[in-house]
Amino acid sequence: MTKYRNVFSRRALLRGTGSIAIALPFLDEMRASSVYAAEPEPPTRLLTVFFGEGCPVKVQDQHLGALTGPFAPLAAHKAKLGFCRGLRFPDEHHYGGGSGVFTGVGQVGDDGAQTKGPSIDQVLLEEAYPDGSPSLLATLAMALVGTYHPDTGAPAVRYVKCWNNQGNPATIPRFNPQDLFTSIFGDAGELETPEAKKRRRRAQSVLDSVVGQYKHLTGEAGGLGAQSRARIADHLDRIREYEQQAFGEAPSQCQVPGKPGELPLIHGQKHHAGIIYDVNEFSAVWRTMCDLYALAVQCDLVRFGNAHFLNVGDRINFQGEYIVDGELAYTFDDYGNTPNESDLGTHVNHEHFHAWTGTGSPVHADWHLHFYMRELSYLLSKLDDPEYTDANGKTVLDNATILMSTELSDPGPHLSRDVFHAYSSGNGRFKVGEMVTAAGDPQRPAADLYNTMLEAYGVDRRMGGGDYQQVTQALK
Amino acid sequence: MSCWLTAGCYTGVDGSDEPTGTTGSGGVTTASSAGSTGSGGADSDSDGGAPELPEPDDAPPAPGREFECDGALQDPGPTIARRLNRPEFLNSVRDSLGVDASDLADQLPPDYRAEGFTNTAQALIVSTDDIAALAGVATEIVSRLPNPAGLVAAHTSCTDFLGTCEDEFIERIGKRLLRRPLTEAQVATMRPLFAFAEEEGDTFVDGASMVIEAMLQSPHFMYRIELQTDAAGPYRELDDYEIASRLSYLVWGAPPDDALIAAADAGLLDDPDERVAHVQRLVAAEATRETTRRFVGDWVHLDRLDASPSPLAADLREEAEAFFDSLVWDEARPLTDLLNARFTYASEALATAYGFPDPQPGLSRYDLEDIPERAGMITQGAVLSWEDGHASMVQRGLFVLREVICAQIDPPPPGVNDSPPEPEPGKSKRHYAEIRMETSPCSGCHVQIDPIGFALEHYDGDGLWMETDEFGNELRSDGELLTQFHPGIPFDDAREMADLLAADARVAECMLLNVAQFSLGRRLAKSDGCMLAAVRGSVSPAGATYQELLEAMVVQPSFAQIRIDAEGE
Repeated sequence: MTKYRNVFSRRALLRGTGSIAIALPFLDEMRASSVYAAEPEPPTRLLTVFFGEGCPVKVQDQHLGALTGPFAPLAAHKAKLGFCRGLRFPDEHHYGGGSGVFTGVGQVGDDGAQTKGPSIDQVLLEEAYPDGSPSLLATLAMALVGTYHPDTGAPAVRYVKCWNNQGNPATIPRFNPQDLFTSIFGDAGELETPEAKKRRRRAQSVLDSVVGQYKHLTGEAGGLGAQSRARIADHLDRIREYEQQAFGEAPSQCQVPGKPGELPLIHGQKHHAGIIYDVNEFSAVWRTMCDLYALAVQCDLVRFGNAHFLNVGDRINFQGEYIVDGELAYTFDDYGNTPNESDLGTHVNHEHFHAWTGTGSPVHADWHLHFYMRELSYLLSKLDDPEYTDANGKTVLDNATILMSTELSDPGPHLSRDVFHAYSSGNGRFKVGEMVTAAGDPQRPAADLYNTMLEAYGVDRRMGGGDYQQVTQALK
Repeated sequence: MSCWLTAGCYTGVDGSDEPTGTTGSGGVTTASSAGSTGSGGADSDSDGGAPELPEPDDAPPAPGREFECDGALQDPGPTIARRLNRPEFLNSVRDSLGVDASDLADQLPPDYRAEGFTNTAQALIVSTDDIAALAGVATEIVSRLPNPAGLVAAHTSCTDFLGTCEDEFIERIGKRLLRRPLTEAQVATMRPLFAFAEEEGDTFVDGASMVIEAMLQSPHFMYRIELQTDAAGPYRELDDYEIASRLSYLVWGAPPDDALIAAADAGLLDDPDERVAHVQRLVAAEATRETTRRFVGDWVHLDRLDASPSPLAADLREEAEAFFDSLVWDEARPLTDLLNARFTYASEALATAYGFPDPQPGLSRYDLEDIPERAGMITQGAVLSWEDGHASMVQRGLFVLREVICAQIDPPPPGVNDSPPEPEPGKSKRHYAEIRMETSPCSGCHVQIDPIGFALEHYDGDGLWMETDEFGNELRSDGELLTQFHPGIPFDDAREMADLLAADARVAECMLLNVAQFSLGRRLAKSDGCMLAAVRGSVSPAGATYQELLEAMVVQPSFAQIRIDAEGE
């Protein structure tokens, strides 16, 4: 049985505590003691986790196996994570990594608007739930980024990791805690005046009419061709998500924290020289988002999606003291530590990764990656919270497949030839606690791992468009 | 996307300055028949019996390859419901309801760029957040109706909750907002809104407002919907209302006006001559200029100037748009003249910065015949300014190759960084460019990219003329045009290169492809080959005007058809 008794303690982690607690939209299968009781298996869930900039092969060689150095923060999850190396994406460079990760295919054209195929989370969603996800949200993506925000016109491969069958974004990430909160918990439940309630009924009536038009058009009598029907059906899915957020009934004991308050970060500035962030403020915002995201998964409001820590090729000028185990480990000063002081455009994290070969003395990028891993570790910890277990007594991290990867295997020359992937066991489907190698010469397509995962879920459909070889070592 | 430069390109930089790599084998294969491919298109008049379409091929041709026609019938091309982009949505609200909602633009779904343009159907998607915002926008628009009661009175003969009054209003306002007569099923989805108003004790006008709010979120408003019903063959002839919408959004990015609706009512729009007459009428409207400003804005990437730190950024954008307006519409000159026309428009500040004699207050026209360093868009600051106002030789070259010539430039090879050495005394940008042009693997692309940039080396990041760079290096402007379509044509300076481009058949072809992509609002596919060949064959080989291209497109049989999916698709 999923437990919720710790919900209120989580509120302390969220800014803006003290606002009203509202009841969550709740699914029948989650109610009372029957939660998952009828299911011998926990729900099928697959979440992807992405971090930007990549990691040199030599650093992987040196540290990934033992989870030392920049990977040390993941050591806490060593028993619950498997690692696979030797996987490549079809295309290289930032856009190649941005499109290839979790899809195994490249982008369409060269402007980063679309990929040539869907991401694994969307494939599994469709195959596991052909009538649509039973959860509140079909897909939920969150991203904490610096530059390359959609408001600046940045291409989707920079920040989208959930792609539908048409190669379009299955959803656009929520870029801050407030939007993430609203997407998950909606604005329903506020104390309403009679006038406000009437406005609500009115808005719902209008939306009912709109839904009716989309349903008619996507039905058999609608008369649309395949591509148009898919496009309109996608719009209808988004309307239904909004409808549930805005008007869904909320009769459950799964309660939510207060809405996050104002944040110290301003996102999405478009500037070649990057945007200045304090690492600790960045961490606080990310962790607030992780709290919300994990709660959404644990309360079964979403089963598929992506968490995105920094964009593909993000450009952030990190500043501030970095405390590890209570001690000052490093002082971020990307501006002062720039590897190329002749160009203001290089005073950012991105340039540290490009200057990073993984050989010689540790460089600033080591600490950047350590920071990234620490923050991803936080998300994993939240998903592994024993206070929130499924009917089989295991955590989300145990039961779901959490698939984690990045964009480049060698940031300096923009290579995507040996990009590591980490994954959780998917309720015993995959080996964890060890490293497996899929490499050959040339390296195996990343799609081989994705297809191996689909196969483990009993899905016949294959990704990547090429011949498929199972990564047998990954299977339990 | 920038063409990144390999570290290996500069291996001689710190030492002898001699390139150490082997000279690249090139990668330039010139086409002997540039711009001439295509049979001119087949007559696809379907009167002679069931048409036979070739197997659809909706893959785009490789960049830089010609769109070919094998002599078969025109294919209407792939069909995908295209969402109205922000300008189209706002124009539709304005023209249908008389409401200016331009201040709400940022709340509408974003228009992602794809294939160079922000109106490409494949990229016009929506998110859940967009849906929420759209609901709010619809409510706000209805609240701004200048005279709701008057609007209702204009669309129904009665305002009682009788059933007939509601239907009359829905049908009449729907024909305007949804751009065609409504079906019974559509009307039925909106009747409950009047019922809601009645149950709540509200007025008929309140119910009508809810109907308008719902229509603004309807797929028939939000998208350009063309159905595949009632067709037995591989394609269907569009009805007049569908043609009216295609035509009006094509020309002025707005819904059909009264004249087009009247023509559709009368069943006239299956006549190509009638369609041309409407094009000729619509191009005179300011809305058409606004639409083509978006074309040039996307084509030249003018949006990047919005983020430029240059104090001249707004002036540069103003110059490019005024020049385009004047040449394309006031003077109706071929689009290829954009490359070398001997005039421009400039603010007083920009004219002063450019060094024009006798700068005038405000935005003024300047004759460039006696100003040899200026000719056409190629020498305008809006085209020359890249990367936050930097003068990028590579980006300038890539712009000409990709956007003006539609040439194929492959992505850079693995093992690259984006930090070419900065110039220094004795070593200009050209100095480093010449090294990478002789160094494998850079040379294959950079022998094409960099010589174009050479012609523009005298212009700084704002497009201002300089005799030497900031380190006192003498600058040269001679180069050559070497692409897959050009065998290596030498030029001495920017003006000579501009004249060369303006007279080039491949540039005329590229203009056609750009206008066609923007007009169709979707990726061009191989299956568009015969339509493009027919358009190409009906305009001046020396270069078509924008209006000629529009007219040539609307008379094509495929303009008035929709492809029917094969069974199982």
